[in-house]
Amino acid sequence: MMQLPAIDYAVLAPLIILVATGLLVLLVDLVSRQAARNVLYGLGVAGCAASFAASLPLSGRTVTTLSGAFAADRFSWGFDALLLLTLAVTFLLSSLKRAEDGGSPGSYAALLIFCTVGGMIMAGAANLIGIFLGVELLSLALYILAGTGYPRQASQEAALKYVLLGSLASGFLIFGSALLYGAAGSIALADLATAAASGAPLFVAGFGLWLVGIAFKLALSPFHTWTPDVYEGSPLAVTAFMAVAVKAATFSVLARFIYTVFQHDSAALIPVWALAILSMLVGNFGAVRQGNLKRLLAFSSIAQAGYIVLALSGVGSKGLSTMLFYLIAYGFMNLGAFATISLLGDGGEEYVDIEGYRGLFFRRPWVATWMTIFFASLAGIPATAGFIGKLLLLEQALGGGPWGIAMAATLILGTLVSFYVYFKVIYQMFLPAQGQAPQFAGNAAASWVAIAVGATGVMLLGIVPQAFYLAQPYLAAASR
Amino acid sequence: MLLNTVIFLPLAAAVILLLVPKGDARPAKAIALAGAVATFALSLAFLGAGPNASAQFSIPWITGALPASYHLRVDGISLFFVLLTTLVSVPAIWAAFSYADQRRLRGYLFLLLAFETTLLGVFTAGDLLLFYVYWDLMLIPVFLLLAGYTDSAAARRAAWGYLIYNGAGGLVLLLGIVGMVAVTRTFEVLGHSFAFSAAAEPWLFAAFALAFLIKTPVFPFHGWMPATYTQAPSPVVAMVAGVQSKAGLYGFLVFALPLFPNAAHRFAGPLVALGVISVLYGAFTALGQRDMKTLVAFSSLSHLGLVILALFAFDITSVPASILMVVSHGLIAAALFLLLGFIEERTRTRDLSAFGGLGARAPRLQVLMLIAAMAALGLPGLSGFAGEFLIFIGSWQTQPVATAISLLSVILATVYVLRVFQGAMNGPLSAPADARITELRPREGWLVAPLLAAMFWLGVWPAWLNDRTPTTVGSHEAQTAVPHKAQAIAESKVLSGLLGASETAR
Amino acid sequence: MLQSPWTLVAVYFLVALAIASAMAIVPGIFTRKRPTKSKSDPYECGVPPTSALIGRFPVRFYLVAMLFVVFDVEAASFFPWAVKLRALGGFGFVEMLTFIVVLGVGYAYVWKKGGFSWR
Repeated sequence: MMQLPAIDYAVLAPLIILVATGLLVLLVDLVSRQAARNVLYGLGVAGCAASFAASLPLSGRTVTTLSGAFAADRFSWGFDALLLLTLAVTFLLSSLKRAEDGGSPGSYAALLIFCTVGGMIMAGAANLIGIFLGVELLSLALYILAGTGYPRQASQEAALKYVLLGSLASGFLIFGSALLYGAAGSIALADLATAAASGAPLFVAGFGLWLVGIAFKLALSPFHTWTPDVYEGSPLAVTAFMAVAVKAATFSVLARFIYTVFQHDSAALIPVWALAILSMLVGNFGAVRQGNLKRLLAFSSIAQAGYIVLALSGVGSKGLSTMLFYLIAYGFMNLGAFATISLLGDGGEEYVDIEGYRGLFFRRPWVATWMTIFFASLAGIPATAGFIGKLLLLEQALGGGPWGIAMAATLILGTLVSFYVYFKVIYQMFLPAQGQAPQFAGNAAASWVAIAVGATGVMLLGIVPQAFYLAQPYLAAASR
Repeated sequence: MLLNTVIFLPLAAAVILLLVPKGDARPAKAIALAGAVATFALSLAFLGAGPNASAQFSIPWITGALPASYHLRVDGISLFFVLLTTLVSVPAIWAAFSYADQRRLRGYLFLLLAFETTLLGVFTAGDLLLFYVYWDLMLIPVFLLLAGYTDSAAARRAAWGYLIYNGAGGLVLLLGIVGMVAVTRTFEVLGHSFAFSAAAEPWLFAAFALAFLIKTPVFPFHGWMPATYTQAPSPVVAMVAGVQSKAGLYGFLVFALPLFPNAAHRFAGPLVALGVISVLYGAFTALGQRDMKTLVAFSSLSHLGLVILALFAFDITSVPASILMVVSHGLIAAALFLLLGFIEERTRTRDLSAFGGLGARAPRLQVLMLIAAMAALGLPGLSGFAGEFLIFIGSWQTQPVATAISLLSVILATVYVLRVFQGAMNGPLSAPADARITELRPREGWLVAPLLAAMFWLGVWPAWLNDRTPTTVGSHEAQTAVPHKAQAIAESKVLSGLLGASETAR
Repeated sequence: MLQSPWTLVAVYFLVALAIASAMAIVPGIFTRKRPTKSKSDPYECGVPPTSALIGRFPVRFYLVAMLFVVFDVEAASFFPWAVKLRALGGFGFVEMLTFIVVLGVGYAYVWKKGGFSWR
């Protein structure tokens, strides 16, 4: 008999359930002739709930399965929950009457689900192959999703750009992984630590290439150039998903890699920090001149990715919970912002011209109010989740030596610039109204639910951050 | 509980305001004014608590490695800032009733009331994180009022100037707070003193000071001020110039000085210099202004520069006098801006050369304006005099040169204040804008009256305020002795508390 | 360093690179270039070219090719399983069954959505 890997199905249950949901969605789409979009999306949301329920017994535990290739720990659990929430909200946003899915809701829903599966694999992957598998599953599905708004030429352009540059990045990632394997003789992250300590040139080269691949997926500057075009071109719901889920999953990979492989050797992280500083500057200054809300949020996501890297400065596992806090906060405020955008604009049009928001407060006061809150949170105004997140990041960075202080100073500068960026949108909404009031999109109820989710998260984490700390025993300590 | 009620009553009124149907502005006005008046009435209850008692409210907010609590308190210092806020808010909100677009009045009043809540939050926060939360939140209502409720491009530019300057100050303060917390490991810093490393303390103090100097503002950090004070609607300026700018001095008194006594002394020289430059720069610039609101804005810069001088003179008389001066300036600035607002509403211009002789047609306006103007130039018997006089006496002891130079401002103030008054009120009725002037309506008269009454009150009885401040200030107990050079200062009961140094430790 | 068996491989690569580069570069240095129109034309069996070199293929060719590749590659994973059928035992059987079911859903989806019809 061969030695077969022992498989702990309880650990894999959330993934298996989600994959099954994806297949089910495809089958239902086949069976029912004129497949009701909302039925399929409802199935997707139910799948998220079931997958989350299956992950509940895992909370607070630390187990690995598949010969240590896949870990379920507090760290991955937190990211899984975030990814599932993002998926559910994306379904809500997709259910509006607009050509989000290119007229094929079944494959659209299935792709979103498989994308999330990829993200969850990334969150739990404890070796290089697992990471690559997750990244590819996530990316391949996303390349197609970026193009599902294909009646718009921008969507096709987005898909093409994303697939070309994305596969280049995947090439870097796999080549880097190969070199890392060559240096360490093992694909397990835990075994890479020895090679990292030796500082072998092969390892350095491998980590460099691997990092380029990851930085591309994270849209860290200077590997960010695809971001504005892809965000602008993709359907709105997909953009929201991209902004939150992809970033969260990829950060989980980066954090696990760094905390497992480098442990206390912070010198190796200098390139990561340099990327962070550059991203904060490029993201915030780049956003200043944007007139398209999706492009603005794309640059904002570049800057926010830079902020999140601050959580990796210094040592100790406190950074992980800081990172998770910021990512959750970031998820809530981005999903909320995208939800408010999705609410406006009738007949498939996307309401993304910032000038078009002029006077919105006096036409659609509630939409404008919530949008103000989400953008204020992105800017880091107190009493929102974004503020507490920044506070934690700063606190982490100031303990991280000169690079940490440099990053903290850049964060402050970047945030100041971002005041202009985010308040530019708020400013428009409070100017006297002109022209036609924007129409509400079709299924506004779903968007309102999404807004409520985002608003609850932003306000709760902003005013009672204690809520996060109460969940702390279940969150954010990576196993090795 | 009283504390929470006072802080959130304006916000509650603001929320109720939103429930009123859009069509009729009258119920909205009634609710807003009732909310503001009730807040003022309730805040008077803090006075009754006696000089040393401090109202407290504290529950844990964030536990863990960096604890913060929802801690509110009113003590001898914050008492007068709270009263100033609640008092100035009433006429400001009342004055806002005449906003041109009655359909948008609801939003206007909402933002003013929300602004009042954030101001009260700043002045009652006993926890540094809570303080910062309100400190930054103050930006938003003012930004929105400037951006959304004015109708000139210049006003909207002013909104950006306001946001970016104060936002920058806030962010630097945040950096300072986080840097401080790395040492203190808590945001609960009131009444404690901490040993900061000699390398870190100046940086932390500088971060705090920068934020407070921008908010006050003091030369050269006043870039946002002239445009904001000139362009904002007068109720908004009354609250920004009358109350919000005082948050800078408050921050120095309550947080920066007790936390970083050594650095505060090291930087005293440069800060006094900045104060003196502000005094002179503000006064000379005011002399050359044609726009009456800009003129008052620069006079404000001049007066608040004096406050910075008083504070960093570290004298037993000048430091409490700075509180008196700040409160008095808040009253004067609010009254002046409101009165100028009435004139602007009528003449539709702020250019001093475009009108004159208004007193002939509007004698009541002339009388009220006269009182406010005399208070501004420091006529004895009004509050401005008491503050300035005590500051000059006190600062003379430790900073004679700076004080002597600053004395020049008294003369300059007389010149520019009289220029406004003479130009606007006296002289022949000639200019075209004069035709539009009408007498003050009773509402307008009544709403300024409380401010003028308070000026009289503080002018004739400054001890009413002074007696309440020092003893309570001293009641903060320093836990550890922080050595600093100024031996003489430690003798002062006032400053032992302020500076976190304890007499017993010597 | 020299003892390493990989040294020879490296030498091999270097020599191969050198010869190939030499073959590509050296003629360029010594030949005389007198281009004419017919010389510059793309080579098409000596016959003058009749159409643009880059033609357009109907997209359905790509579709069929892609579907073929996808389902054909799956066959590749059946072979090792077949070879080790007994060693992998019941676990392998279930695993492969799952694999086939997942594929089957995809197959059915493509079929139903008209992926195989020549339109």
